[in-house]
Amino acid sequence: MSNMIISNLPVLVVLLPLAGALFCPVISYFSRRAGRLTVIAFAGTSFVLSVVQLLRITDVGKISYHFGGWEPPFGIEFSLDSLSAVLLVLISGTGFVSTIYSLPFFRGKSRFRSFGYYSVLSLLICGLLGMTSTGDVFNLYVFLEITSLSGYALIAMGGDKGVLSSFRYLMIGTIGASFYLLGIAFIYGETGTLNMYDMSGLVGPVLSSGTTMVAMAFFVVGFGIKMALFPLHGWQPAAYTNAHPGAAPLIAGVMGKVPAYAMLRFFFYVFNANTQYVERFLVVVGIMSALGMIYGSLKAIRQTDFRSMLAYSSIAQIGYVGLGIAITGYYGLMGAVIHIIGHSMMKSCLFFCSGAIRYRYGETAMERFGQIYRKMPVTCAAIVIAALSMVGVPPLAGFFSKWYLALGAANMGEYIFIFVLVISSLLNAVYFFRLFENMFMNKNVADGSKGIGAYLAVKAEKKAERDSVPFKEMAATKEGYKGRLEIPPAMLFAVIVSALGIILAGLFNAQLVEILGPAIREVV
Amino acid sequence: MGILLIEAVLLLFLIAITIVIILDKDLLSSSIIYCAFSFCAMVLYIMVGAPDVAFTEAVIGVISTTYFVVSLRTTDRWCK
Amino acid sequence: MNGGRSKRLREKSVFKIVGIVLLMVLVGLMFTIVDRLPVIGNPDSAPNRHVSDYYIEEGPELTHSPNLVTGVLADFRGFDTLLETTVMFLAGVSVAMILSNRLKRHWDAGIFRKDENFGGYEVKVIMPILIPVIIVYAFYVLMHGEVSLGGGFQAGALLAMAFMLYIMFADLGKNKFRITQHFTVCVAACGVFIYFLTGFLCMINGGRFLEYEALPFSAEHGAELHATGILMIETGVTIGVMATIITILEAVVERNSLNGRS
Repeated sequence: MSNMIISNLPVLVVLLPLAGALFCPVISYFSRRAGRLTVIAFAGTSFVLSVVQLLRITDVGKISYHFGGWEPPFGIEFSLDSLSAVLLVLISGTGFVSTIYSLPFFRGKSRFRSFGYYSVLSLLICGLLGMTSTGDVFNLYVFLEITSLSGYALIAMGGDKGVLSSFRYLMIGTIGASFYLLGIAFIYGETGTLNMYDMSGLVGPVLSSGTTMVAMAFFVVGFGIKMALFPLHGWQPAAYTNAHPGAAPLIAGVMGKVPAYAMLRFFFYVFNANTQYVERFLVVVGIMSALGMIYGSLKAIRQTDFRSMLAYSSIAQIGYVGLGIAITGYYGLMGAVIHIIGHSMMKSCLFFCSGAIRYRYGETAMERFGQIYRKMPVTCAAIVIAALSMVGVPPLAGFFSKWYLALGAANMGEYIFIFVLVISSLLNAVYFFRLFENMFMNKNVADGSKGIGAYLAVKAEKKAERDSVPFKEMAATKEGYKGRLEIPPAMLFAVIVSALGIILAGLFNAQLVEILGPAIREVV
Repeated sequence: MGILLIEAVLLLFLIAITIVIILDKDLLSSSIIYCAFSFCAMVLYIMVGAPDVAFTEAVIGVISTTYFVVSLRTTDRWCK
Repeated sequence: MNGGRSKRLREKSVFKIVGIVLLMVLVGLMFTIVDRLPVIGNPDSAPNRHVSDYYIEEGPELTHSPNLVTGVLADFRGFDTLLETTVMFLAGVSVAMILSNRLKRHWDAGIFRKDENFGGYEVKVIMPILIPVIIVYAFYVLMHGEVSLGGGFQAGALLAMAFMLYIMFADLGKNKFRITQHFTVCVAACGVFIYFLTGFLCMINGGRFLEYEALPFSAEHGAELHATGILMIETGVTIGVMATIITILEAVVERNSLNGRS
């Protein structure tokens, strides 16, 4: 039994959340709570298995899994190295914490919305895990589709504005996916295979032909739309702002980063990035990233809504990853990968806290965050940790990625990138310290009776009256949340875990670089 | 040469249908013309030698046209 | 989203001109490379050399299905088909979940009359003949997926089409064949789960995921197990696709009746 699990680890990690999503509707017929717990159980098992897989890869080096028993160019394969394994742990961990975090938002909701949300969230986790594991170009497209569709559905659950933003994202995202598909078609026409490892062997002679260059341009545009690189970012601020608060951490933190990782895979592992033809495209990506860093930071200063500020900040931060891809040395790539990992944790932490504040007070406008630190000390501490990490204060995770990026830019002699990096960090500091000023020094006290917790409690009470059943006491009442802890324990768990993750990723950065080292040295 | 001529005519027809669908103000007639688009695509798929795809396109064309027409009862029929 | 400002922005002709210019650039780009694409039917071009040769020569015996399209779709690349079916299930759940939001009536389209009766003997005589024929044809397409054109997606869509015809033309006052969306979503989940279970059975029995040779059934030679495996997964795909299409239809129709026109 354990032999079967060990030898089939890559599939189990990706497909257990899918099984959870399939069980959820059927179990929800009988009990809503059992349906949610099923999804949480499957997501947790997937996380444990991904940690086991990481340990196995640090022993073995690389794992390749052939579906259906067919050899790679003729069948599909999952190919994992240490880079994929670390990202898998990150994605499944964030997904598991998100499923727990969303529990309080669904007390008393209708059966359909409850199981629908959990099914789609579980499928989002499955899609993200699959995008990271796969070694086949068309399989990546199908997983990209699963990720995007679940993203549209989860953003559309955020109310009226969510539906509009999700529709805009749907239009633009479908165009992005179509560009990627066209790119696959052209590169298949040139090389004749769909397997990444095989293609890297066959693409050498045809790298200079016009069709391959067009294919690469289409890949840049397709992935750029999905990860919201500067001129292609139009859908992102509204989508992140209006997403459902339980799914926003996963969408904002992880869903924007995995296409960047896929771009890294394409340009370094499939196309050899050290040739001059590919370097032209990387220069374009670098320019777009640099402009995005400045634009995102400037626009974030103007925002009054917390979530919008975080969304524009994400545009800047994904620019850092693009910058790392454009600076092609070892340090540049290492900086990009560490930034993917670190920023996922930072953004998820900030969105967890934003959802918590919204649950308790119903406020997302920053000027009304006054004196929140008295009632929600742990949440404010987590916001402070995450914000300091985003600015780049040393022992936290954000500092190391900027350090590596600056080292890489200095090695390659592109000093303009260091300049842009420093300016962007200073602008980050401006808007985050404005948030601190509002939280700690503002005199208006936020009002507790408008939070989502209070709203759900009022609805549950009315429903209990209508059905003439005794009303079960909830921790939230119509005056606001009055539990023992500052927010429901499920949400507090998520906030604390993500803040701890930022601290640990900063402290143990050397070990992380050591694990990722072999995978990155392959392509440099 | 005859086959290429039919293919070229069908492709031009496809482009013309697309332009009509975008510019038309009556959403009900746009939905019906979408069915014609699906039909042209189906014939093109047969011509490049993919009959499975043509079969699927025929069935899915009917179903999606039905969706568009049924969902028009919820919204306005005339696009402003 | 403030309607006034963005509406004025949308109607600015600068954006339209920029959009049309970019579209022309894209079309021009496609035209310049279209003659460098490999010619259909050329046996020396790259797509026809590397992997296709193996599929065409060894495919029909190895996968025990003369229809090579089904062989590649359901056997060599069976994992992709599982994910595509999951995408269909996901679409069904998403549409039903989003449309179940009980909004106030926003639009007032008084075009359709309230007293429409699709009576007449054309409907009452032809539909009871046509619908069973479509259902039988759907099963035929499902079973013959390996041998001739067909497969799971087409069969599922045909079954759903039969259901759609019934809903549109039957006299719903007499037999209200109303299914809830929760039920159809569960049916779709069962369909995808059948597909997943086939692969999982292979995994438990010692093979890889979706390795049909390791299915726990007895057969004379290994190739027959391929046929059994393909039939099982196509059944799963059929059920999933049929239930998804019915879910979306029910979601839209229920939304209509929420808004007061049924």
